Amino acid sequence: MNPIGFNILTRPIKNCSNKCEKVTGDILNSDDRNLKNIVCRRCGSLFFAADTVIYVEDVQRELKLMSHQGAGKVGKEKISWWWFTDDDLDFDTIGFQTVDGVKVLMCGDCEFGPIGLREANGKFFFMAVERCSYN
Amino acid sequence: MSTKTYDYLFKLLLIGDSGVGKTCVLFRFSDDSFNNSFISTIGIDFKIRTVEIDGKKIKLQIWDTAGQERFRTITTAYYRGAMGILLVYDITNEKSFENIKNWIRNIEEHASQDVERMIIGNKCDMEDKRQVSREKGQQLAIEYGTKFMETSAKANRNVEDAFLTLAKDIKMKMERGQAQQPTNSGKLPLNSGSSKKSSFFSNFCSLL
Repeated sequence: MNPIGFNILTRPIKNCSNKCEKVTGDILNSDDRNLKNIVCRRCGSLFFAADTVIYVEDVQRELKLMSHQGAGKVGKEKISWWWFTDDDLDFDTIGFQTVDGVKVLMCGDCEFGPIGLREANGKFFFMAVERCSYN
Repeated sequence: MSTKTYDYLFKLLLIGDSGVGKTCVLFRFSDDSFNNSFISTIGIDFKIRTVEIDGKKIKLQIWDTAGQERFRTITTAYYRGAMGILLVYDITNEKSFENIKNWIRNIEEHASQDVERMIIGNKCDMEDKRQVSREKGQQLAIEYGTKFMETSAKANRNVEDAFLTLAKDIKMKMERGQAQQPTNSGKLPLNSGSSKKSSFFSNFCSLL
């Protein structure tokens, strides 16, 4: 491992789906936080380390389907399962962008997204449970 | 709330003319994702990346000017709390290099006097179109007492090094206790409360 960080550089980019995918296996620990690391499904970049964010459900939002830099005319989908935090410093690596006028979260490394939303003037962060990978 | 797992928080800015590739420097580009077409940045882009230097976990908040530089509206608010600034020019664009002096004046006017600076000549993968020699870049950096690096966001050359070098310099400065700490950033004690956060957000939101 590179002792000074940025070891993610050599990580290859994978082909992946641009919408929610059913998550298999346990992802919650006993207090409704993330059991595993939450990572980008395309490049594996770390969004949240294990045991950082809480799980919320029944928060209905629409989110554009994912693409590089959020570009293109792709559809939307309804999402209601999220990882939630109100502290931007809980993120390990993340990109904040405005896509089609919506404040969203993008992968800070490969720019794939949106993977989530910023609300309440950037005080609330929602990351779609089914748009991430876990390890 | 969750336990704070970092030792330092540094706010870094990218400054320079439109089209020099600041946003490209902000994001890591791999071959298949590099966007050659010039799209002006819209909306504030802001990125968090966690790095480890000498066993310390450091959160870098990296800000882009979001194209505001075209309107010359970069103001004190943008510079507030900044501890490091990457001054970016395009080695294929002489004008962007000349303008670095204006940007330095702007920094001296608006930013903390103690801010760590670094001059970056970007797009060094485009040697055939080069207008600014490496030596000229180095010369300017010497003149202003800053470090200098040529980068290629496209070839991913030295981009990460630039951020790490700047972060290392800030860390060293802070540990020597010489940094004049901006009130809303700097070393956070582990398990710090939320007062720090709210001041950060008020700055952040004022720019949105």
